[in-house]
Amino acid sequence: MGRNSGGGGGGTPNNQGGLKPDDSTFKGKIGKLESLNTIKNKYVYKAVGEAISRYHSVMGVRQQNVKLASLPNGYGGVHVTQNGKSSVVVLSKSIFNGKGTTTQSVASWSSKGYESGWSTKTNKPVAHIVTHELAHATWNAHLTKANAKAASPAINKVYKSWLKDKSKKGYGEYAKTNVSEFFAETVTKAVHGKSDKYTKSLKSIVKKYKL
Amino acid sequence: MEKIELSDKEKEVIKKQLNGEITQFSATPEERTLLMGVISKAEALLDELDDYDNMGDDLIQWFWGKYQSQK
Repeated sequence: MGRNSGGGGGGTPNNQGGLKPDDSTFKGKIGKLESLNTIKNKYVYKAVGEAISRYHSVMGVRQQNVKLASLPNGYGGVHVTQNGKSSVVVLSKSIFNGKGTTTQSVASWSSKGYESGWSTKTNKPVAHIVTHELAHATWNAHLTKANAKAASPAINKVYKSWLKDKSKKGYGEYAKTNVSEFFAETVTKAVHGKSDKYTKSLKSIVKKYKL
Repeated sequence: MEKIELSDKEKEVIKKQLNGEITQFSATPEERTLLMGVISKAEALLDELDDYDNMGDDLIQWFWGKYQSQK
């Protein structure tokens, strides 16, 4: 079974929902991968679909492989990089398709880091999780494809300029931890927040290197 | 450069971050608070040393390296 087929079952020996464990950047357990169209709440389903569409239209990047699965407690979504390649974005089944899930419940869960300054604030908290993980699929420091590696010095240069800039506004603290989180949160700001020179730089890099 | 002081809980949260056990959306409120404190210390040291050219692509990894090297 191909690792992107999404048909693997929970409880397989590797505990990765059918994904091969080799060199996976996510070490936690992933349950059976399910299609997004299993989301029961039509408003949540619509919000997820709109988040993916908006990502495609703003960033010019198509990432089709987005699934639902059970994830370890506390995880809203993860992106899995395997053997240097983007494998799949997995959204938490309990957060996006649990009993009584609504767009409000997803938004409330997603925005819990806004007040403290941990997360980059957006006016689309449901889309935030989806967009953040899609951005990891577009680029992260573990990808080994030629275009991803070629883009790394340029992205790292923007990360350092951004870290140095004490007047930047609207970013969460977690984005400072490393270049991959910086990329994911700055792209999220590009898609759902106020654009600035950093969001513009990353969009330009994504286009230039065909990420 | 003053000696970097880290509590046991700060060291624990740094190790979890570097092991990929903390993410944007999975961190507990306590982990968020601890890691934001670590980020603040790391940024202050990075500015003091003006070590941007040598920090690599991971602020926490760089800061942890500085802490380890003083022991």
